[in-house]
Order: sequence, then structure tokens, then C-alpha cells
Amino acid sequence: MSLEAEIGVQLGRFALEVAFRVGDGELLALVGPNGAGKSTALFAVAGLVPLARGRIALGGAVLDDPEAGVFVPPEARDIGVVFQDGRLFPHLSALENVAFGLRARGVPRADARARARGWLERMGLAPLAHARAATLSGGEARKVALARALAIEPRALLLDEPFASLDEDATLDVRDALRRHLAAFAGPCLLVTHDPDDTRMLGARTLRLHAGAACEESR
Amino acid sequence: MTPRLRLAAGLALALALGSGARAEHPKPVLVFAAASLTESFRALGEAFARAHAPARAEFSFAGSPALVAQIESGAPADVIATADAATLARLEESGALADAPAVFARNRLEIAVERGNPKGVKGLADLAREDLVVILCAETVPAGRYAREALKAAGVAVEPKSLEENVKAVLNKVALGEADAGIVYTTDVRSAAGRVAGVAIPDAQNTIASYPIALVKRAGAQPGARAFLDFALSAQGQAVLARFGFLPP
Amino acid sequence: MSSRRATRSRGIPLLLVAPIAGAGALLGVPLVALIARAPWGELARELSSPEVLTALRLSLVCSLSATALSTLLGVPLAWLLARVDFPGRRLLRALVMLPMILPPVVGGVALLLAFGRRGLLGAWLDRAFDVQLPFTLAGAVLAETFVALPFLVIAAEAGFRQVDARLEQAAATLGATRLRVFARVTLPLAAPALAAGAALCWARALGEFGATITFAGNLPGRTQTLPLAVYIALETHPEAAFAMSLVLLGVAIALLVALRENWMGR
Repeated sequence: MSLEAEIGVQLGRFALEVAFRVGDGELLALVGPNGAGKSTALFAVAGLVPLARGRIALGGAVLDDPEAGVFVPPEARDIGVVFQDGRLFPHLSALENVAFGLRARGVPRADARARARGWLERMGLAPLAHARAATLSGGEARKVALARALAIEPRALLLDEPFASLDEDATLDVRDALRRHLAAFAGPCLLVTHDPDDTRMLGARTLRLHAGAACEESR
Repeated sequence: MTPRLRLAAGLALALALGSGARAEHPKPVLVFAAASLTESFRALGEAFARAHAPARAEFSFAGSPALVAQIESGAPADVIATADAATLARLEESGALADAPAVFARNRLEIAVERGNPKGVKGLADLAREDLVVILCAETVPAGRYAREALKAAGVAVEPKSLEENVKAVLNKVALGEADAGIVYTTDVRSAAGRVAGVAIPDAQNTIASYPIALVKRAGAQPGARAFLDFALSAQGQAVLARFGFLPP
Repeated sequence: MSSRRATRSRGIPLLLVAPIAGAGALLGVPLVALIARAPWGELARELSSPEVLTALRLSLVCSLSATALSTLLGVPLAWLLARVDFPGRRLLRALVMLPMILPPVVGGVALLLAFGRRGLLGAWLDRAFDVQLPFTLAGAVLAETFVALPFLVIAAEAGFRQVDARLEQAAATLGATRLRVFARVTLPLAAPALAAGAALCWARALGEFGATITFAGNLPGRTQTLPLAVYIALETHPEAAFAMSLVLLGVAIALLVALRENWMGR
């Protein structure tokens, strides 16, 4: 199952034109300075920003094609997203956060909670299962967000600046967790970051963006 | 002159003119009158102003108990006219009146129904019909008490849908078509000028309302007040009231 | 020592003392007067009379029903105003706020013209379903809902707006439908604001007078709510009126205490 994206987005005065392909089990990193359009590209794949031009397909199924009049809303795309700011639901516990996507898919409550607990254990966060999301530290929250996205067993995984605003220790911790779980993840993976260190650590192919367009690709 | 000085001078002039004008035109007599006296007293006021210029009267109409409560709280009324003696007695007992009240008019009850009487109401007995929306005045209002007396005398049990605070409210809701029938005074039906139809109540079942009028005891007595009261009792005043359907006292 | 002096607060400016004292007197003296003049000795007797108990029970039933109806109608409307951009949104919001500015008795007149027996909609309800709203408890609930609904909608819209839309986005990526996002994310996070709005709505409904007496009429046990009972009692039995007023004042104070975090800040 590969991700094929030809992205043309217009947000006010900002225009983004970029195309890429991410194969199964492959990790592509979009790098570049702030405002280059990396996160916008990621959001377009997630379905949070509709395309103005282009085409996005996952495993052959079209997700967004303005010319053909096709747009699959984000809740139907089966793509896991880890956001830059974590975006855990503050009124729910860590366990409930991880279980959220499973419950949305109709998994019965007990089953969903058991699976969520498994993911938290894999992250080494089992003792925090019942802690309110708002009380978690930066690194802990980021790992819970990762568990939450992976728990739904998505077809693709998107990570928007997963190490943003984390201190050094937390960054190492999260990076370690990410490396382990990405290795186990079967689908295509898109990572947005402005830190080239991340890409080296994770062994990613890199696509550099600048002012809304790709400028160089490297391994 | 600076703008500020000019403003001050202008204000002073206006004040002087104003107070001078007031000396020539006396303050109007403030008359509190029961709601059922609305149209007749307005006409009485006009006649009074013509006969006793420059004196003139101003009116405030409401349910009788509301007027009495307002005077008890210190409202600056000069004259009060209510639809029954019992309500006015409260003021008598508390010594708020300058003189004993005098009855100046009487009234009879009538059933008000929608124009054309579509529900075919023929008398008090019909008011017990289940298909009719009947409204009355609250028991604290003279018209409400009179209505209940009449219904009791006729042996009719009515379940009103609402108890209004004054007789005009009853009249208006019937006129609007919200209620099918209400018990008001004959003068109200007459003053409604075709907005409602009336069904007479025979004398045997009817209640006669006596309307007293009195001067309110006030510091700085108003000479015009006594003049208005006397006018209401005079032949000329009585003629005005009779035009609206009131009975002589 | 000099730094301590510089940071000490400077107190109330002299020029503001008079208006502040005036405002305090305007708001404070009537409340103090009500408490002082209340018939404390006979309070228990006045409040346990059947007329007062009936009016109290009726007021509670009507105001709670009006609050429930306002919530049912108002929350979806508030969500629409907060989350969906559509042409005429500002007009709709202005329409929702209209009953807050309209004199209540005018509201009552408008309700009569709309839902009275000869009203725009009321005539049809009467003919087709034999349903009459004036002079009924349902009519009183309708009148109270009309004036109190805006309070709930305004508070709920603000509540929904302050829920981070990015959380709703995250929920969508996890597969939640719009309904699930609303029920599991938006609503729980907006709940405190909604509760405050509902409390305000209830208080307004409880105190409604002009629209109720005009549209629903005044019948003890059916439509004579507490404010109407106070109005009628004031003319002939002021002690009962003062006692009932005290009850309503007590409710208002209790509400303020319960919602103090929302309004009284620091």
C-alpha cells in the first residue's frame, strides 16, 4: 500500500505545489524552514486541508481529487496523525485517549481499553493509564499521542514535528519510541520536521521544501 | 462671552422662563381612576378643562387595588375614584383621605363576547359551558368580586381560564379573540365601540357597582382637586358620565 | 525599600469615589431594604400558605421545563453559530438576541399574535389539532422559553467557540464522525459554559413576568407563577408579596454563589 500525493494547495497568498510517493514500510521526511509548507502538505494528506489541484491516493484508493470531485473526509481515511502539539483530549485519561479511535470504530469498550492498555505498556507508560491527559509531561504526552494514532492500526502514519517543544531528554525518549514502532509499522509513513538530526536518526528518505515547492531530495 | 458662559446664561434664562410659565399655568390635578372609567373620565377631563380653565386634570388608570397600593406607597395623586367602596376603605382607614368619599356613579355588569357572538352565548348560565374560554377579573379587583357575586346569585359555576388584573385586560382579550367571554361593565362594552358584542345580564342576577370618589390628603393642597371632584358630582359632569352608560349615584 | 513603595497599589482615584458610591447605593440599598422590610416573623406562615406554595411549585415546573426546552433548541443552534460559517450567520445571531432586548410585554404581544387563537400559527394549531397555547401551562413555558433561550444560546456559543477546533480535527483523524466529535469532545469541553448558560437561562425564566401575564394569563395553579403572584399580592396583601420576593432574591443569590467562578473571577 503506497501513498501517492500530487499536492496543490492555495491558502490565501501561499501556494504549495509538491509531489511525492511513499512506499510500504517506507519513511519520507519533509524538511525545510518554517513556512515552507511541510505541515500543510501533511494536513492535505490527512484530509484537514482540501486540495485545490492534484490528487492524493492511498493503496490505489483516491482520497482527494478536485477535478474528479472526490473528497474523502478525514474520519474515513484511516490515517493516523501525531500532531505537533500532541492534541490529547484534556478531559480524558491517557487510556481513554488511546482508546478513542478504537471506540470511534465501534470496538466495544472493554476490548478497546484492553488494547489501549497494551499500547501504553509498549510505550512504558502503563502506570499513567488513568492520569488525566492534561497532567502528563511533554514527552509522556507525545508518546501517548503516538500510541493513540497507532492503536487504530492505520493504513498510513503522519507525524507533524513530533519532537517540537520537547526538552533533550524527552526528545531522545520519544525518538527512541518512534524508531521502534516505525520499524514495526507496515504502511507508508510521512514525517515533517525542521531538524535534520531527526531524519538521520530515523533513517528516512528526505524531501526538502522551500516556499511551497520541493527543492531537493536525498536519502 | 466664552462658550461656557453662554451655555450657563442660556440655562439660567430657560429656567427663569420655565418657572415663570409655571406660575401662569397651574400644575394639573392628578386623578387616579379605576380602569372602567378610562373613556368616561378622559371626556370628563376635557369638559373640566373647558369649564375651569386654566385648571386641568391628568389621569392614571389601573385596577382599583393597584391604584390604592400606589397611593399607600406615596404616589402623588390628588383625587382617587375606585369601582367599589371596599377598596377605597383601605385608604380611609389609614387616614390617607382628606374627606369622606362620595358615590358619584353606578355601573352594571355585562358579558362581553366576540363580535357577532359566534358561540351563541345567551346568559350567565352559558358561561359554564366546557367549550367556552371564559376569563374574569381577579378577586382582588372590584369587577372580579362583582362578577363572582352575580355568578353565585345565578347559581352558575365557572372555571375561568385566567384572572386578569383589570377589567380592560378582560375586554381586550375577548376583543382579540383569545377568550370567548368575559364579565365586564356595561360601560366597557359600550366604549369598546363594536370591538366586542354584549350579552345583557338581567337585573335579578346582576350586581350594581357603586363608584366612590375622594380627595387624597396631601401636603400643599391642590385647589383644582376639589374643583374636579365637585365637577364630577355636578350636573354637567353627571351628563358626561351618563353618555358613557353610567347610572346616577 | 524604595522598590516596595513603587509596587504598592495606589487605591481608588478620588474622582471615582462618588460614582462608585452611587452605583453601590443603587444596587445595594434596594436589596438591603427587601431583606430589612421582609416579614421575618411571619415568613414561615406566609410562605406555607397554599397560594404561595402553588405559585412556587408552578414556577419551578415552568422554569425547569423552559430551561430544558431552551437547552434542546438552543444547543444545536449555538453549535451552528459557533462552528459553521454560512451566509446570514450574523443575522441569525441578532435574531437570537432579540428577545433579550425586546421589552418582555412586547414579547408577550408578539407571542399572542403568533400563537394566540387568532395568531399566525396559533389559528392553525387550534383548527387542525384543537391545541390552544394561551391560558395554559404550556403557554407559560413558551413565554418563558422565548425570553430565556437567548441567554443559553449566547453562553453555549461562547462555550463551543472556546473549545479548541484542533482537538476536533484530531478526533476526526482518529475516525470520529461529526456527531461523535460533538458528543465526546466538543460537548464535554464546553460543559461548564453550558451549565452556566443553563443556570442563567433558568434564572431568567423563573423571573419572567411581562410575556407570561400577557400571553399565558394569570390563573393560580395553572399559569400564576411567582412573579405574577407577587404582582397581584402587592395590591392587597403586601406581606405575602415581600415574602415571595425574598424567596426569589434567595434563589438569585444562591445562583450567583454557585456560578461565582464564572463571573467573579479573582
